[in-house]
Amino acid sequence: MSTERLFRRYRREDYVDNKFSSLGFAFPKQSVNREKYSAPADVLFSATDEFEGWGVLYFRVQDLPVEFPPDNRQYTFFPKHVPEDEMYPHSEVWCDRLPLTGEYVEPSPGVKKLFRAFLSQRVEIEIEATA
Amino acid sequence: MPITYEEPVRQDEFIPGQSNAVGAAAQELTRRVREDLEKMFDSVYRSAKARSEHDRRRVYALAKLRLNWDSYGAPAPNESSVANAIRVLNLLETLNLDPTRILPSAEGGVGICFVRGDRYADIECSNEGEVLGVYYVGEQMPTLLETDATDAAISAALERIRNHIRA
Repeated sequence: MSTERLFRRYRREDYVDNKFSSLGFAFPKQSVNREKYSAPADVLFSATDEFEGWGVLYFRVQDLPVEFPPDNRQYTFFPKHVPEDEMYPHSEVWCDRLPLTGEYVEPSPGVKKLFRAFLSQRVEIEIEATA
Repeated sequence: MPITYEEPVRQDEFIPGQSNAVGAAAQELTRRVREDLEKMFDSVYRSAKARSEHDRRRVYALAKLRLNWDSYGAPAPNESSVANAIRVLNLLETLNLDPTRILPSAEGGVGICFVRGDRYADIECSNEGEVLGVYYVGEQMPTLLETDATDAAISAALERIRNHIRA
C-alpha cells in the first residue's frame, strides 16, 4: 500500500485535548491534496490570507481501509485524483461497495460515522494551527 | 418463691435532648457550618448551571455560522441539528456528564465531544435529524452508537459514553 500523504487544512479547535475530532471530517468526497504533486503548505495558499493561522494535517493512502467495517466488510475507501484548474494535486476520498461497482457509492450514515472516526485516529499534524 | 422488689437504677446523667441550651458558642458554630454548607452546595449548583448555560449559548452560536465555514463547503448547522443538540444537553444534565467541547460538524450539524486521556467519544446531531455517536480508546476500532433520535435512545447512548469516558 502507498505511503503517500494526503494533506488537508484544519482549524485548531478541531483538536480536542490533543485528539483530532472526526467532526472535522466530511463525507462524501473529502478534499485532500496529493503529496506527489504538492507541498503541505499548498493547502493553505490564498491570495487573501484566508487561511492564516490554520494548520495542515495528513493521513496516508494506506490508512484508507480496503474493506470496511472490519466486522461487516461492505465498503472500500480509496483516493481519487481530481485535478482542479488552479489546484492540480486536488484529490478526493471515495467509497465503493464490495464487490466493486466502479461508481462512487454513498455509505450508510452509520458506516460514514464510523469511517470518519477511524480516519481521525490516523491523522498526523504537518503544520500546527495557531488560530 | 417470694417476690423481691428492686429499686430502679437511677440514671444521673441526662440524655441530651433537643434544646437550645447548648451555649452560644456551639450555636454559632452550628450556624456557621450550616451557612458554609449552603454556600458550597449553592456554588456547585450555580457553576453547573453556568456551564450548562454556556454550552447552550455555544450551540445557538454555531447556528450563526456561514456556509463553507470550514473552507471545504460545510453547511451551517440548521434548526433540526440545533434543537437535537439542545435536547442532548438537557439529557446530559441528568447524567452529570460535562462535554469537553461543542463543535460544528463538517457534515452539517452539531457535535458534542468528550475526551479523557486516551478516551474519546462524541455524539453528533446532523442536519438530517440523525443522532449518532462513536467512542474509542487510542487506535482501537471505534464503536458506533446508533439511535432513533428518541430521548430514550439518546439517553442510552449517553450512558454508554459516560461509562466509556469514566472507565
